[in-house]
Amino acid sequence: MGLSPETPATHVRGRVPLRDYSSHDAARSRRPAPPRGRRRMEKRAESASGFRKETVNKILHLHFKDDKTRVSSDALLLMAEMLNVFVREAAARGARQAQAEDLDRVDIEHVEKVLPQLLLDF
Amino acid sequence: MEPEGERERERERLLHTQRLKAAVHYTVGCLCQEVAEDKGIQFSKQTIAAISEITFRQCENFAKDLEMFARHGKRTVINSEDVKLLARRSNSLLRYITQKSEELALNNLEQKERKKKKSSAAKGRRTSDEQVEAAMAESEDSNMA
Repeated sequence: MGLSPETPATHVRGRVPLRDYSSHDAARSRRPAPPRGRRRMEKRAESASGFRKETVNKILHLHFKDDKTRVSSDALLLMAEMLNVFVREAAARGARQAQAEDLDRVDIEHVEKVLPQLLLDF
Repeated sequence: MEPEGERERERERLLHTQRLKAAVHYTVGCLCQEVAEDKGIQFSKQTIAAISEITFRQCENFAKDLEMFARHGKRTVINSEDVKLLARRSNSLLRYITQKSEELALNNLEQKERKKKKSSAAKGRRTSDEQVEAAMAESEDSNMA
């Protein structure tokens, strides 16, 4: 169980974790094709919804200890992707947990059950 | 030490944080909506709020780690390598981020190539324009004379 063979199994009832993150790309391919080029990642972030560069930049700067610290443009795009993956993982794992319990609505308890492994994986 | 000034700054910082949390909440809502459509399941409002709060708090850990990675590399600018190091805990996550980073690097190269072509094309146009201007100036002179 878990994203990779070395993560230990936990005893949460009926927990079915996602195996790899390429499923996020698969989900995206079901949507209309995004524009090509460098702006592909930024525009895709807008049209297929996700974190924007300026938002990520401001959030990171909120927690920096040194005022001189800056973030490169590529690193910002990567961090936006990482946050997208984080949110999608949390949502998808919570959904799987709810579905494993035969419910059609994800409640906060499902997120609570998947939270420990999620934080360990990030 | 002005307690008034400090309180004002505290209030502004709090407002700033609240605005950012609202932005995160909106984006989380959009992403959860997509997942809900993909899986045919609903998310309660508290769930979205919880994921939003978790994400915001996780950002603090990310930011501090990134800053320390850059400082460890004796830099003040956080780059892609620092982000890749951040994604080390899960193999599939690391693969995904590395793949995205390579895509970005390719796009950067493409952009540079396009810029080079544009500037060399522009230079070509400029020199031919100068020749046209010189020719026109000569013809004007001859007309005036």
